Parts: sequence; C-alpha cells; structure tokens
Amino acid sequence: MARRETPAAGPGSRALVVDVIRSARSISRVELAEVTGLTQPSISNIVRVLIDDGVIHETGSADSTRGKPRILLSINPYSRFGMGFHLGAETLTCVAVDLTGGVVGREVVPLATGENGGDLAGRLVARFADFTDGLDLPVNRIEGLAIVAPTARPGFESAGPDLAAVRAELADRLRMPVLVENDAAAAALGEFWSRRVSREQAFGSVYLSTGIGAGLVFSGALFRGASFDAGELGHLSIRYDGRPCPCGNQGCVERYASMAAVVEDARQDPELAGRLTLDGSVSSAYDVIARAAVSGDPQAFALIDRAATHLAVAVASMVNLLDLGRLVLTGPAVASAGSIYARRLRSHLARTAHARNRHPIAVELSAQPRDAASIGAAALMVQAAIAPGHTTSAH
Amino acid sequence: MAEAQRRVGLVLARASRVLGEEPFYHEFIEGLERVLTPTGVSVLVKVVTDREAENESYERWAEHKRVSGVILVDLSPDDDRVELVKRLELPAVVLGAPSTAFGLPTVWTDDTDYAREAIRFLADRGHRVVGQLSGPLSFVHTRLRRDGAQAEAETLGVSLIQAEGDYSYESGRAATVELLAGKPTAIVCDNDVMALAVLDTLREHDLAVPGDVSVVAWDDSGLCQLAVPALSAISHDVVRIGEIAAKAMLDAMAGEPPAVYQAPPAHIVARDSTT
Ligand SMILES: [Zn+2]
Repeated sequence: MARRETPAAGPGSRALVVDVIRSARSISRVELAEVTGLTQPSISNIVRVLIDDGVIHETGSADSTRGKPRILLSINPYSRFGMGFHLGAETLTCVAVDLTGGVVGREVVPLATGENGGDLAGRLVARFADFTDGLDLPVNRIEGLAIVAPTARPGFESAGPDLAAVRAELADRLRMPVLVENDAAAAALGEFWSRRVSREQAFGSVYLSTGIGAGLVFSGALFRGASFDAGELGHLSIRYDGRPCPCGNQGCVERYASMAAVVEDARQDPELAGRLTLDGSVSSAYDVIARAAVSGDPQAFALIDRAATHLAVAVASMVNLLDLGRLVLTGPAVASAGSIYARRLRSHLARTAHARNRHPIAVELSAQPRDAASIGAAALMVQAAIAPGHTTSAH
Repeated sequence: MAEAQRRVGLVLARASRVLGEEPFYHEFIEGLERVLTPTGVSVLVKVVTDREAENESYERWAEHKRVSGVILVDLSPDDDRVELVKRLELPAVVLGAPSTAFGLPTVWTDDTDYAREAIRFLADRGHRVVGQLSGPLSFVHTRLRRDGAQAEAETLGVSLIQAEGDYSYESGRAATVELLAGKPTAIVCDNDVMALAVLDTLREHDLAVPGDVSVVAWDDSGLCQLAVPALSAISHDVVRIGEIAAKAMLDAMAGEPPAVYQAPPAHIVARDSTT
C-alpha cells in the first residue's frame, strides 16, 4: 500500500486535484503540482489512488518544452455515473451522466406527484430500476441519485410531497446516497461541471422556468445559504411599488420576466392572442411566443425582449452584489428564445456592471436548457463522489 | 407497483460531450415527446461510444422487451442496423433517405436539395470558390449533401473544396485550416457547432466575416443567433421533424405498412455572416 496522506495532502487535496484535472480537460503531473501548490510526491500519491479508483486515466503524452514528453491525465468519463430525477408537475425527467457531466441516458415519463401521487418513493424506486435497466447501467457503478424540484413558495412549504421522507426511504431502498436539491441550484452545478468551469471563477447561472432562480458556485462549491434557499433571484425586486408578488414583496422580477409573466402579458394583448395559439399550459403557450419571437414576429420579439430587459436589471444587481465573472442562462424558457435574453444581458452588463472595467462578465447560453436541472442533479452526485468534501445537501 | 412504461428507444453513437454541444437532437427529442408523451409512450435516449455498443443495445432491448420500437439515425450505406432490427422484429423508423432504409419507414429531409440551395445562395452573392465542411463521410446524409453541393457547383461554375469534420468544435477548427489553403470566399458547415469553430478560426487568421469569407451553418439554433456576427443558417423545423418521426413510429408500432414521411421544407435564414 502506498502511504496516503502527508499533512499537506488531506481529503481536500484529492478534491482539488480532481477539480483541476476536470477543468483543464488534460494536464500533466508537473502542471498539477504548479497549479495546486501541492508537492510533487503528494501529487504522485493522489494521482496513483485516483487511477486505481478509475476516476482518472492517462491519456497519452504531449511534447514538453522541457525536453521529455509529459504524460497527460484526464477524467475517465465512463467509469462511474450519477443519476438525476427532476420532478415536474406531471412528468419525471430521468438523466444519467458520466464523470464529465456528459449525458449517457435520458427519459421523461409521466408521473403524478400531487395528492394522487400515492407512494411516491415506491414509484421512484421502480422508475430507477426501469431506467437503469433500459440503459444497461450496472448499479455498482452508480454513485447516487439526486432529486430536484422547484422551491416551494413561502407559506406553501408543506404543499408538495414530503421530499425529506422520500429521500430517506429512497436511500434505504436503493442502498446508495440520495440527495434533494432545488432545480436552479442543481442546474448551476451541472453547467459548472460539464462546461469545465474552473474553481477560481465566481460562477452563476440563471434558471428561467415558470419562475426564476439562480445558482451560485464559489470555489467549486454550490452556495446554499442558511436554509438551502439561496438564489431566489425571481424575488429580487426591480420596482419598490411594482406588481404585487405572492411572496409578499412588490416588483419582484419574476412578475415581469418569468414564463408565466410573459404568457400573461401576451394573452392580454388582443392582437398577439388572436394571431398565436396561446391556450394550453403556460409552457406550451410560452413556447409558441418564443418561437414566433426568433422567427421574425416583431410583436412576440418585443414581448420577450421586454422580459429580458427586466431580467437584465435584476441580474446586474446580482452580478454587482457578488462580483460574478461568468454566467450561464439556462432552464426551459431559454430553449427557443435564449439568444434574446443573452443579447440583452450582455449589452446591459457591458454598460452597467460595476466591475466591467476590471474583468469581462461572460454570459453564455446553456446547450441543454430543458434538461439542465436533471443533468445538474446527476452531476451533483458525480461531484459528491469524486470531489468530496465539497458539497452538502439540504437533507 | 409501477405500470410497465411503453417506450421508444433512440441510441446515439457519439461522445456524450458532442451530444451536449449539439442542439439538433434536443429539438428532435422535444418533437418526439410532444406527440408520444400524450399517448403514454416515452422516449429512452441512450448514448453509447460506438456502433458495436449500439447494436448490442438493440439486442438487449429486444431480448428483454424493453422498448416497443426504435428510431435509427446517421445511417451509413448498407447499414447493418436495418437487417438487425428486422431480425429482432423491432418496429423501426429511419431518419434519413429512403434509399438507405430497405423498406423501413423513413422520415426524409431532402439533404441533396438543400445542399444545392446553399451553393446557389452563395453563387448568387458572387462567390466562386466555396468550402464545404461536412460531417463524417460514413453517414449517408453527409454524402448526399456533398454530392448535391458538388452537382450544383459544377452547374454554376463554382469551384468547391471539401473537408471532413465530426460535428465537434475541435474538428471544425482543424477542417477550417484545411479549407483555407484553397482560399474560399465562403464556407458551408454541416452543423452549427462547427460553424462557430469556423468563425473563431477565421478571426485568428485575421479574416473578416463576411468581408473576406462568408459562413453558412446547417441547423439554426440559439448558438447561430448569438454568434458574432450572427450566422446565416439553413433552418429546419427540427421539432416538427421529431413530431413527424413520432407519428411514423406510432404507425410502425401499430403494424401499418412502411411509408416515406416527408419532412417540412427547410429555408435559408440570411443573417450577418453572409454578404
Ligand atoms: Zn416575490
């Protein structure tokens, strides 16, 4: 057995090494020592254990300026997997990701989670077995399951299913780690992990769905606040005497820029409501407006662009409060019309962000906005498994 | 106990990261689900690293009756999957040209024709040397696009230079460098991700878009709209193609005779990357 720890190389060092390899894509042992500040022997030990565990592998060599070829290390993507379940109003989105956060399986199945949900834990256990069987994923290579759902409104905390109880029962029956997380926070971690954002970045994501949430990743860890309720961007007020919000405040940006707000505004516009088919659910009506907006309907464009302008004001406040360097826009509402939001945010931040002359504030668009929460949930399990000491859960 | 889930299988043989980058399949799956979810049928997407693993998936799915049908994509000439799904008696729908499907139902986008249209679009704007950055040549649709572009280029007296990528950003950069040796004034790319790689590579070569080189992407997306300059694109209603494929799948599962389902026509959206 190799001697594991020197004082300078505790469990935190292993997480640090994994995180640096992940964000670098591939890196040599020498560079790892330089970037992490750990000694060469510590790096050698940690790397050996990580290779034995199958977390990383050697991926060939590159020419070195110092003469001899360097052996490069990278994450070994298919050795283990994380699972994420996103509870929607009527559906369950199931996702499996590999160690790089890449999706290896996905399925959306009907699932009532309300009062008729019955034995929710039992049904989730059955879905888990069904999904992993369909993908032929060996259970011993699954690191765990994270379940995500929207955060409950103040006063409605007890309305939905009791996820703490569901979590405990699932952990017991699946015999693996199970976490519960809110959708926006999970989405942020997923984007952080799969985009290979380095832990030096002050990273945030904006999750646009029926509501608006944000997720924040500092030093490689999700920021959760006192009660795992951090990132309620939707209830940042942009107008002290503005539209009343069910949360108790006034002028919350959610009342101007969420999918629900855009659909409400569109339905009150007789011309738009007459031209586009806006009956049906909020998300299907929103999709119709978003598609019209990007395919040249000037009125639909104006509506979404106005929502984006409101959102930009709130996001600028968040960016200023936290001095963020990189932002990703994600969530189902940016699937079709994301470019409109991203353009508004970029131009607004370029003009108003307090740190704009000190560093750029990158605004990017998620590549998988509809599945961001479930992908993020699965990535959370991957992070908890291979870069531990880094994340704690709401339960 | 949970009821057995009726499902359609879709296996994608590519790196998980490439799937993450490409909006095409997300929209296609969205379209499939719009039609299938209300009928109680789900779509199981499985990403595997190679074709061998793909075929094993069909074998296991059939053996354990885990799917009621499969959708086949990225067909190669004489693709062995067609025989395989017939032998396994799995109802199947092919996304691609009827000539490759040997009697299976197909959802067909006329790739040859759109490739011709793209060349015509550029020739009309005065381009005489055009680069074509294609996807993998092992795919039939890649060959149809290349043949279409070649035929139209010959008709119009345009000189066409071709390079192959694998839809990834990195491959797009390498192929652009290859194409630039032939000094094209326009480049057509087989997907949006490679088109972004073209934009970045041209910038590094101090070539202005569209001043020095025009760029057209196949598949419109938020990435195209947000690119600087915004990318002109051959725009398919991919969600609609997914809906049509779902209808074809339901027909196949019901034992209907195979048919060719025509995808809606594409059109070129001219933005800032073309003159
Ligand atoms: Zn509020």
